[in-house]
Amino acid sequence: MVLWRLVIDEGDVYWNMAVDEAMLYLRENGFIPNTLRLYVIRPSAVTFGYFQRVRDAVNIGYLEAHNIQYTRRITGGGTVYHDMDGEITYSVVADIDDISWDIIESYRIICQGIVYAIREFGLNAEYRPINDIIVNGRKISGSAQARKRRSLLQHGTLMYNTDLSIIVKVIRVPREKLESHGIRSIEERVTTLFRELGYNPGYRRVLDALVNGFRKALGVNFRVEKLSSMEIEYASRLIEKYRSRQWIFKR
Amino acid sequence: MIVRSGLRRVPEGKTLKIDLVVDEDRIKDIVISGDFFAYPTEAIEELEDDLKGSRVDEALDIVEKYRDKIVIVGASIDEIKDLLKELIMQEPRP
Repeated sequence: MVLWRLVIDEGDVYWNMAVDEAMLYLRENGFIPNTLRLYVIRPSAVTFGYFQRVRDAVNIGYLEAHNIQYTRRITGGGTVYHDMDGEITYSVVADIDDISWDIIESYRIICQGIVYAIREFGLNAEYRPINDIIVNGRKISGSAQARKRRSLLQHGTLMYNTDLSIIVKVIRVPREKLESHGIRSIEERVTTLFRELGYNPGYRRVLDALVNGFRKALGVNFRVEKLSSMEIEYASRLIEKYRSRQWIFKR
Repeated sequence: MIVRSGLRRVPEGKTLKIDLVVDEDRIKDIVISGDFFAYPTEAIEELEDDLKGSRVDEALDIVEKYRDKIVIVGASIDEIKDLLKELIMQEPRP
């Protein structure tokens, strides 16, 4: 069976976004193997999509008042609240050849890892294009993918105990989007493993389920490794970008 | 100077927003934003740069030229053209 690298990690949002970008660059150049990274963003923070306008995507006043870090991703998609006590973020960096050149198909293949992880808890989860995973009609996971010439980065979330009441305060959602889902508040559209199961499965069990889920979805085995010194070096150079107002407010 | 913004939810897709500033017959500024995906990422900014400074009546043709240069997921070249047209053709407010 094909062997992928698995990195278990945690750090602040700027660092994690820098590592994801560094890994995409290094995979593109063939310097690192296909990798699954599972990480916690600590402290809790917000990321929003590359094409979003920051003022449309997040409630800056609330974030500033509560010292919640926020930054722009290199991937498209929408706003995400990363709860350090309730969400695990994954990132897959791989050759496009090893996943699929078809964009939706590649989302489906990688998202299947999350679907299998959720099913380990006896819940029925399904992938809904483009980038959602749904449990009992509500979104529990979102993903976003960027591509270079020959490699891709897909990262996304799995909420197991996210404080849903904070999401409403930090994320701005256009009225048109809520209406398209037939809801009044974003809180009606999202859920967590805790909410679905009636108990908090906790970080460790969710982490194990994710490893099993991705193993099954990708048909690979994992070898646990740390980030290489080259990745750390490269990410260290990128981190200032993610902290900069120029990047965060570029749109 | 005319400043206009339009936002729509693309059917089966994502949110698309255009912020447009028109000065006389030229596009002074334009931002195409939303929670869609575009490959390659840089192509949206290249399109915006091409549109900036262009004559308003050429805008749709400029967008059309990007049909083969960019894959948009959750929105489309047609949706961008449509929304842009809507903003340009809007009756001036009294």
